[in-house]
Amino acid sequence: MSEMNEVTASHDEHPAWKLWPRIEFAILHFCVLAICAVLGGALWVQFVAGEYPCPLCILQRMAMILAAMGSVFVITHGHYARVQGFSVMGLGYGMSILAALVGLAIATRQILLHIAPGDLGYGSPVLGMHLYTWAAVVFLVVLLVSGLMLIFGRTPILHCPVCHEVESPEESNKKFIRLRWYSWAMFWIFGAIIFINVFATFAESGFHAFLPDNPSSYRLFEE
Amino acid sequence: MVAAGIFLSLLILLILTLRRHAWPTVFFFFLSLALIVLLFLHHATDSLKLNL
Repeated sequence: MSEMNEVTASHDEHPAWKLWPRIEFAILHFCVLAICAVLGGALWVQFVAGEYPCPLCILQRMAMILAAMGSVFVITHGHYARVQGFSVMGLGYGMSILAALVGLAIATRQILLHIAPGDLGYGSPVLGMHLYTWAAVVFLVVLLVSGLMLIFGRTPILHCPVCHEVESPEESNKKFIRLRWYSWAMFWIFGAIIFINVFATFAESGFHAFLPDNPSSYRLFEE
Repeated sequence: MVAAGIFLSLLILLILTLRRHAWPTVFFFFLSLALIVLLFLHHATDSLKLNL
């Protein structure tokens, strides 16, 4: 048993493994910012190109935000191996996988609605494919990255505020977690994207419970 | 309004990821996921006027 530990320890000391936590932390930030970029593109199509998102498009945005929430959780809690009995990586990537599966189901339904030859699809194509097809690609990539991170990720993993320091009792008693500036920047960008979506969706639905199947105006301002 | 409410719950979930405790995050994650699935089922079946 002790020999096995020594073998593991010697592998852990390889310089490439020392660099991995930083790479992993960067990948997590990149994943959240990539989803922010996709959602930003969708908002650009909505407000600049003037195309109204249908209910399925809105649902895909929600699933994308939920999928990115897994990465956000690992970024904020990654310096712990476990939180209240939950494996941090298991919970974070599990959230991403479940949300991506739901999002993939929604995107697949919309693709199948318009897949018949001659159907022009909903909205304008971007780089040859419609936005809902790109959304399916995004959800597949989320599934792939989450699976790979579950295999190659390490806990406690990250080059984050407290992972190389001993946490003081005052710090560990605080309700909220301390983040570095670049994590805060990612957090605020992501928060802003969600906030804009709250108002964009409210403007489209107005005071009706559900969105129209084929929206042609912002009902909040029309009525 | 339902869709805007789900986005709002996602915003709350984002703030909850900053908390040390994991349970609020887990609760709001499943709440948001269930609401997204229910809204999807509504939009997928409403126009069919199914008589169940």
